[in-house]
Amino acid sequence: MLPCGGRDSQLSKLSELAGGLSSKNAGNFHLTFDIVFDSTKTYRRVLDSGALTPEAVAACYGVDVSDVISIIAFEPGNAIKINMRRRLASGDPGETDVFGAQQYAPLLELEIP
Amino acid sequence: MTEGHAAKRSAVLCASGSLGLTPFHPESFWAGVARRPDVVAADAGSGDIGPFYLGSGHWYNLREWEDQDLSTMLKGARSCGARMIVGSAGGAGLDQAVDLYFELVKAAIRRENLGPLRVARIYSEVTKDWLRDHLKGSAPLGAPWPLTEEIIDETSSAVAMIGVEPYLRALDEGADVILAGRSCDDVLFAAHPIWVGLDRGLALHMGKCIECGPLVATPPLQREAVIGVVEGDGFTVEPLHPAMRCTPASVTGHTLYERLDPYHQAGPGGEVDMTHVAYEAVSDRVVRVTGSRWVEARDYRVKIEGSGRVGARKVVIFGFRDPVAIEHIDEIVADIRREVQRVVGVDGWQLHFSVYGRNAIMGSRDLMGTDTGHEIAVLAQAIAPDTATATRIAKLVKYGSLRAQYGGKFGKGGGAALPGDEVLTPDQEAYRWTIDHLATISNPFECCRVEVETVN
Repeated sequence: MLPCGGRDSQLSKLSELAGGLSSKNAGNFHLTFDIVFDSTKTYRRVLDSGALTPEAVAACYGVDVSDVISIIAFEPGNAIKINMRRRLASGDPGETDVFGAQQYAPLLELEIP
Repeated sequence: MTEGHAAKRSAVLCASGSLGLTPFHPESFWAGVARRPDVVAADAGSGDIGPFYLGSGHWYNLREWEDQDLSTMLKGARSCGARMIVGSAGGAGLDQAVDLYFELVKAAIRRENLGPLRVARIYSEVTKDWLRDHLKGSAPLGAPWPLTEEIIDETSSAVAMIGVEPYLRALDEGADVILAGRSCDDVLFAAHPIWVGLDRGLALHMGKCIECGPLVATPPLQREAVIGVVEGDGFTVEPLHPAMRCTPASVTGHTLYERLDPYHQAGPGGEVDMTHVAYEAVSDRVVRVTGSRWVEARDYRVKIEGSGRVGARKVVIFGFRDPVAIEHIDEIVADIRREVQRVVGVDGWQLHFSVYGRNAIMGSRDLMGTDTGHEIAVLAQAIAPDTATATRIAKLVKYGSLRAQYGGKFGKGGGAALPGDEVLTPDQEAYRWTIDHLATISNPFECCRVEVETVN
């Protein structure tokens, strides 16, 4: 079983709960993930579940928890923001995602009680 | 500030979310011009494009599209008496791009008989000597290393991201057109509202909302115009394409975009505090925002971006359809690398393999293990100090992929599938971000120069 996936029917995947989930560079050394919910109720459910922790996010990517810089609840937008260090600085030799556009995929599978 | 407190309203039309990237749509632009804005503006740059353009000075956009966008903006601005403001010229905001935009605008002024116009150029490239003089008082922003003499030596080019003050000076000097180098995205849209005496926090937040053009609206149709109006204790945002709408959700959502902190936006000289912002629908397509607040900082700090050359780059792409080859891809890649080491030596070069169909996009952060599709492609990037060595490595990779030896098997005829029997030569050499730091300066003009002249 993957760190973010599972088969417990009591759980919902983040992809089923979020109205929008995206990743993007925030500057040249960081990635920011924006998880936007269509309703305050769903936003609250995910936030209150306590499932979105730096440890859980780090486990989705196999990174050290110190690479997850912050998780910020943004009530005005029914959104949760996750900030992480980039694997490489953007455009470094070996880069394959210069905008950081596809890095959110593992979060889709994150399970929320 | 000549207009001073007379005007209590400033309307800013964003023509394009990225000038010259692809030509913007004229219909929504001219619909915006019909609103008689005070400013027609567009941002032309971003750090998103990576370190290559800044370091190498290669042109990011097609000149014909930059010319087309600049000419249309100029005609629109002059038809309603608006000023025209463009920031982060050419993508990276180098001085040479400010010069190019100046040439293009001068030609358009003469071609369209729009003169005389006062045209301001703001340059914000900084030299190695400037960087050495500002080592003290510098601090890492994104980069996890301190700014040192060695880092400066490894830097090919650097720019300062200027704040609003150079734009205000250009307006003070009567500029009808402002063409600027690397700038904070929000300031070029906020300059006029601040200049006429409107609240700095509101102006900058408005700038942040419209700098990416359509992204603040839904659906975010590309290359459509958006207008922001600062008035009284708030500002409004409205898209100009009839099929697009700004909603409290779309504007709030954009507040998150590309930044670490949705509540605070730091910039030169202070930050915008958005902790107590309210977003309210004025109609089904216009949103009014109130409550953004400017908080001045003790020091005036600007972000410096620097890029340094890593080496020449050559590329080979090869693929496999044979399930046994796919299963042994790591072995194949290791075999190729050994052969490169045998011929070229063990260090002084880099060779990056990205296996598409497995984990090319996320690398070590992809925990799907060795799952692959039924075919894979490998992107091999060879980087060496000189083109000859990079070519040698790339040719070894190409040949190595053909004679791929795996699982005790030899590919008899061809080995890997090659899209062509050649080494690819991208016009991008390899660069890296060397500087992503804050520099403390004693006044906002220490990192830039403003030049204004009349063009007939």
